[in-house]
Amino acid sequence: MRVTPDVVASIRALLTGDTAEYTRTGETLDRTGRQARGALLSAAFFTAADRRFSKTGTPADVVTFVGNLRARHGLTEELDPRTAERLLLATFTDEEIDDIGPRVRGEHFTILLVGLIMDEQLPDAELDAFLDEARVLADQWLAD
Amino acid sequence: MPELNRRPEGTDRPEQELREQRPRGLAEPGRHLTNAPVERFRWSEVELDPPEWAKGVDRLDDLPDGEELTEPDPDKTRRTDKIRQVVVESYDEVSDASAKIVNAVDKMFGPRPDGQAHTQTRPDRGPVMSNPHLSDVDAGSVASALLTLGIVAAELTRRVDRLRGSNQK
Repeated sequence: MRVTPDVVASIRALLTGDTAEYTRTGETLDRTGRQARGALLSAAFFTAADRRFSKTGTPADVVTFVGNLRARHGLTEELDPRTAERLLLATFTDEEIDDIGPRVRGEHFTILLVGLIMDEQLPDAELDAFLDEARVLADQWLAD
Repeated sequence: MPELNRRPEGTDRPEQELREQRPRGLAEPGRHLTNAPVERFRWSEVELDPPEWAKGVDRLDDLPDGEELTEPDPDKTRRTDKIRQVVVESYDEVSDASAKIVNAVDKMFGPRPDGQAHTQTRPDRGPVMSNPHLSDVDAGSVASALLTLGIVAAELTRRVDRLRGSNQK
C-alpha cells in the first residue's frame, strides 16, 4: 500500500482551506485509500511539528502555539488544549500519547497540522515539497 | 640523452625573420600587449566563519564522511517510531473527515465569498453625467452684494461732498 496522488491532493485541499474538496475526496476513498490518507495526515503532522519545535522548541512554545491557535480562530470547542499540547510534545519529547483515542487524535492531528502550515505561510512550491516529504514518511510507515 | 631545447626541424630561421612573419596584433612571447602596469597577485588569508553547510567545521578533514552523513538522528527515529506505533492501527479513523474538523478548518480560513455579497456595476448602464450644480441666492451672495453697494454708496457720497465743497468755494 502506498500514498497515491489523489490522496496527496486531498490533503493539499485541506491545507489550503478547501474543505469541500477534502470531504468529497474522502467519500470516494475505499478502505485502502482511507488508510493511506490517515497515514499521510499523521506523517504530515509529525513532519510539520518536527520542523516547528524539534530544534529550538520548548514546552512553553507549544503552550503558546496552542493557546494562540484556539484564541485566534475561536477553536475552544474543537481543540482541547491539553490533548493538543501532548500531541505536539510527543513529536520532540518523551511524552506518551497512546491513551488518547484514535478519533480524538485524528481530529487534533488534522486541526494542528492546518494551524502549523497556516503559520508557515508556505508558497505553492514549498507546500508541495512539504507534502512530498510527508508522503515519503507515510509510505515508510505503510510499508512497515 | 636527447637535447630537449633543440628547435624543431624547419624552424632554424633566424629570430628576426620569425618576428617579421608574426601577424600584427600578436605580441612576442613574454611581452605584454599594453603598456599598462601589471598588478601583481598578492596572496592574503582572510578569516571567515565556516559556511552553514559545514555545520561549524572549517577544515576539510573535520567534515563528516559518508557514513556519518547518512546516519539518521536516533532521537528523531525513536520519536517517529513512537508516533507510527500509536497511529498504525487507526489510520482509518484519522482519515475520517468529521464535521468537527471541517468546521474547525472553515473557521481557521474564515468565511468564503459566496458571490452574492459583492456589489457590482450593472453592465447595461454607462456612466451618468450629472449637470453642474447651480447654486441659488444664498446668504453669502447677499452679504457680498450689500457690501459692494455700501462701498459704492460711500464713494458716491464722498464725491458728491467734494463737488459741493468745490462749488461753495
